[in-house]
Amino acid sequence: MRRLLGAGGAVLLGAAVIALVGVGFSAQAYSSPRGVQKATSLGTDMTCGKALPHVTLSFATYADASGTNDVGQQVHPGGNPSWPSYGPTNIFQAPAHACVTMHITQYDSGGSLNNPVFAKVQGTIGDTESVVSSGNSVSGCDGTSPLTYDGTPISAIQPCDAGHTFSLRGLPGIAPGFFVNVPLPLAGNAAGDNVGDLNSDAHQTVTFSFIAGPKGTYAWNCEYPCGLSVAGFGAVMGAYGYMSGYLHVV
Amino acid sequence: MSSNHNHGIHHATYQSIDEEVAPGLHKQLHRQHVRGTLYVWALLTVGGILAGLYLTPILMPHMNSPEGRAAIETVKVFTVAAAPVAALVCAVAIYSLINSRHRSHLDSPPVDGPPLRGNALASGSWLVVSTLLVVFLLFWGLTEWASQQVVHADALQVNVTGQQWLWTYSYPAQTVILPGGKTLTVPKAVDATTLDLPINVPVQFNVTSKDVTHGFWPTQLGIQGDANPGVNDVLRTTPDHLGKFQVRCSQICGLYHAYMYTQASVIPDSAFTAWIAQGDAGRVLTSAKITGGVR
Amino acid sequence: MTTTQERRLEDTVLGSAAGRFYRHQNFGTGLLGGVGLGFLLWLLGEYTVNNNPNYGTDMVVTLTMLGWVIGFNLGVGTFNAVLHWILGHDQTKEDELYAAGVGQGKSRYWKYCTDHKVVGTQYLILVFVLFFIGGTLAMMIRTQLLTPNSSFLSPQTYNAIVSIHGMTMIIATIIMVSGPFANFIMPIMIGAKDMAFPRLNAMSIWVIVSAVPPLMATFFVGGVNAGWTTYAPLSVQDGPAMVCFAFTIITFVVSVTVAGINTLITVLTMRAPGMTFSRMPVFVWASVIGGALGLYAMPAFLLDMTMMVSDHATGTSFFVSAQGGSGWLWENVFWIMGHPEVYVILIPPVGALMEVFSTFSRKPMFAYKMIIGAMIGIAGLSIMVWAHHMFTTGWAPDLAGPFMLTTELISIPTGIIFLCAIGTMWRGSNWVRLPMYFGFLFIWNFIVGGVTGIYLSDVPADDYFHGNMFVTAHFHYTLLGGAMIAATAGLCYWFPKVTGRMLDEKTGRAAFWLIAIGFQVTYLAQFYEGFKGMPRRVANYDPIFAPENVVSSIGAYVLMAGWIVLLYALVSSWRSGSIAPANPWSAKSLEWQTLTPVPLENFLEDVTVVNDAYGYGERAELQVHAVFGSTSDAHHGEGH
Ligand SMILES: [Cu+2]
Ligand SMILES: [Cu+2]
Repeated sequence: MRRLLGAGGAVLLGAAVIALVGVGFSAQAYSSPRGVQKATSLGTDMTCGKALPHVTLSFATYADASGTNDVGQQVHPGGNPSWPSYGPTNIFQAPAHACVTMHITQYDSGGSLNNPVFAKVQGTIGDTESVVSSGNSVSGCDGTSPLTYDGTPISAIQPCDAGHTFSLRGLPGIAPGFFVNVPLPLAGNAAGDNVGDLNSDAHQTVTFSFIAGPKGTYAWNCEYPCGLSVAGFGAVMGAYGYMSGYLHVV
Repeated sequence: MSSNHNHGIHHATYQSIDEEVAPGLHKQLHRQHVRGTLYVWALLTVGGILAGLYLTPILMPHMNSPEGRAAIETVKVFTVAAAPVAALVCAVAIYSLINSRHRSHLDSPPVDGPPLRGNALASGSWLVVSTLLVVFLLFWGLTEWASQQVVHADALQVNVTGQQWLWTYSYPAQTVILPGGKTLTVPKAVDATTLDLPINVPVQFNVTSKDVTHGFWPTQLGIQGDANPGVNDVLRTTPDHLGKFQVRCSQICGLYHAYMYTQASVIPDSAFTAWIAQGDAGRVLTSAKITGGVR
Repeated sequence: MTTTQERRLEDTVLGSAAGRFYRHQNFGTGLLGGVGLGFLLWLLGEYTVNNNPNYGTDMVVTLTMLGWVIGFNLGVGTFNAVLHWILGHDQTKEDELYAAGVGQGKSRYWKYCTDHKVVGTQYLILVFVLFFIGGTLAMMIRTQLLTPNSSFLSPQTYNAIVSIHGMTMIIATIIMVSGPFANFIMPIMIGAKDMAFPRLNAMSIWVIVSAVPPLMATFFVGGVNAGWTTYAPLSVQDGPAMVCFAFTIITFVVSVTVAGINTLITVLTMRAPGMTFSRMPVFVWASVIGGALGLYAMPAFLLDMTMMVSDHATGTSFFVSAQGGSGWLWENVFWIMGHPEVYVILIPPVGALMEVFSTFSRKPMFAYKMIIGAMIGIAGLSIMVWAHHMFTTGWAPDLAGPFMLTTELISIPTGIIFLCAIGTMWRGSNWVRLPMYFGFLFIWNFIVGGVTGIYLSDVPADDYFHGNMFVTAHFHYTLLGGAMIAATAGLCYWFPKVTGRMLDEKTGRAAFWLIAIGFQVTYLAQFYEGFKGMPRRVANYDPIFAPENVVSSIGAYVLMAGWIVLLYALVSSWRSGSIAPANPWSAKSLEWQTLTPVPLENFLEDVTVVNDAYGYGERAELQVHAVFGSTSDAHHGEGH
């Protein structure tokens, strides 16, 4: 071993260290540092059409990843201020085959989807979602002013009224046909202040339920082009953890 | 013994083995070499041909279209065609290794071999055989390829859209006249996130992308084409076996490239008609329900 | 060893202008210069262009990378002579000798040094470093793929690693033979005193060294998402890491171009008397053909990457179809570089391996002229096959037939290489030393790589295999199992000449078996993944592929262990192996006829070549490759 301690060895170790530091940095910076949100149990009920254990998850989308919401949670620690982000985490956990109800609060503005298919609600119970608006003063693209929803189940939004989407895909070999797509309509008010205060900031709260698949790590992402560059899928959309994450089904 | 231990820097002189060995013995040795190599060659060739014929179908999945089976056939035929040549190279290498072992003393070089600087017959026949093989490969490939270029008068149109990171399919409203005179009708355009195809109906995929380049690869149909933004890439096939498989993205397309796949099924045309009749309402998960009993 | 006369020379060289700045330049001042100028230009960027919402970051990164590359090379002394000339000074004799490393001991390996043997050694170390980085990244890829739904790495990190593993290995394999051996060995082989352009030679290594940090920097600015092929428009959509990546390539191409010209001119003009083209060792031919092919191929890469930087930093749209550009443009120019580049990688190691086969079979090169013709044929055909990478892209479907033809035609000259290899072994007195072990491994690997290549050349089969793990396994069989194993044979062969020490064969053989077996396990499993339909470059996969991925990962760990054992053998032998005689293999080519360590300017006497270097088993007069010192047409120099 003594022989290894030569200049050559030193250079090589240096190279390995450089590579590992780079990889280590990127592994740290591009994974989610924010922990896992476990679903809250609501007992067993008929929400999903049959008697199933019912759990719920609540999270939100924010316009500023570096911000802090009204309950003091950081949206995305170390996040880029000019990027939107899901928060306070992007990794969720729910039991297998349970009925999962999600409440997503959309604080961000929006526009048109690249593909109108994602304006349709898919894979949820009844293929619907329900949206409740609060403080929104922005008009819809068809002239509805302001764009508000009253909580009636809807099966689609206007493709040009999208803020983000929550699109959860299946797992090959485990849940190949599984697919949930939920469009989140845009929100905004004159103040343009979207840091995430439930009391004062404009938001749309989207609620939907679906039956979780078998055990596995399911990936979700946003299909609204909220990034820069080609097709709006550069920058934040290519950076893991802002508009993308996992649902661990256990 | 000739001296091979002259490590003189400037004037290495070696004596040829040929000067020592009587010409008759030399010939006999040569024949021995040829025979030994031929045995190894024959063994390896047979092994290679058997592997090509019987291993290929085991290694590759069951295919649902003629194009897919053409890929399997090509691997089979090319393996069989290449086996004798590959076996010859291996045979000479292996034989030279076995035959030379006992003469190898690690510290000093063995006596020089015969100074063979070429052999017109060997080189010539090698060239002729490898050229013929290439001509055969090309002929095989072009024939197969040409047979896949047949355009059916009428085909089920399926528009395939790749985008980061999902495939979507749309079946425009259409009536397809099938080869037997039957018709298949899509009364109203349907969007779907799974791919369902009726059996024995020619299909035309019109593949494009919303953003970057993706690779549309319905694996067990044996066809593949990139989804390029702003381009319509046309792919044709006729699925002729029932079954399920996956469409996978074969061109790295960013963050979730690995997740870009869809479940695909080849289903009886009655099931297809029933499914398509539901219009958009039937688009989600329904394919799984309908094809549950297939295969 | 050092004579009084030499010591006096050293004194004048080291003494004159001793205090001048350029006498203190080395790798360290290079780092300082690069970081310094990089930082300055970063500041400039931050305060001028950074406010552009679309291109600001990319413009700043462009400036920073430009600063790094120029600063590093200024700092290390790459442009010293040029700057002197611009300022109206000429280089003195002492300056030249100083630059050649006279009297600087081991420290000259850390400097801009014009001695081709020093440059060759620097390349060798750089190649080790790059393979070590690339190998480490490969291990992370295989670890991620151990399980189907692994969260060992995030998909972003995984893509970044896949891209940089690819490019690091491509750079390393391009220079693994043309760097160390075409620099160290090739000039000695033709009886030259140095390369034709020693300054360009020294420049080529330091420029390439400056290309490495930008590649590693990609990890810190988001990572490259697009694989080493960086297909547009995905690579345009990518973040500023793509700018760093492009700078690596641009810088690398400058180096490869300069080195290629140098190799070419050296062989054309610096051969010893009597070294006719038909007496040139196959390795020299291979270096020339590889270098010339590089001169054709690599500028296309520079062009592609320059357009890429422009798309990123200035908002041009060469590759964005929504704004009139085309991803196919990128793909075409990329593969116009990319396919010849495969042979830029392959031809020099194959040439080296042919030397090994001849020396250890104790036989002349079989069908010498055919193998030269075959290498030229491969080079010529390789510039006409690029679109076989694009069979499934939808581009020019009518050209599928012609490109199938040219691609399959390449198997004819490739077959000739096999013919020459086995012809050279045929009835030879096989001396099974370590280089020969790797030679046999090459033959097996390259057969597998070649045969699987013909499946891919066939359009109907390619429609299944394209973009899947079969392709990954295929090109690892040709580039790692073929080229890199051949280069390893060359390394073990020339190790005594380069380092002056014998390589520890016992450890070397242990490494060989780990490498040979680990390699087969890794990539045969990947062929199976491809047969079954697993796509390439995926961070996760269907659990149906799980068993073969576990096997492949285990094979990869064994393979890496093998390389580390080999590295240990190399490093420990280099430090304390037994002293190598000048000609341990009793080989005939010129590098073995001079002293070890090789003196400055390579030969103590004049060289006259009288036969080719392959006179094994021939009549006595044909066995002599070259005569030294006084000959009828050489001047009467000092005897020995
Ligand atoms: Cu979004
Ligand atoms: Cu894709």
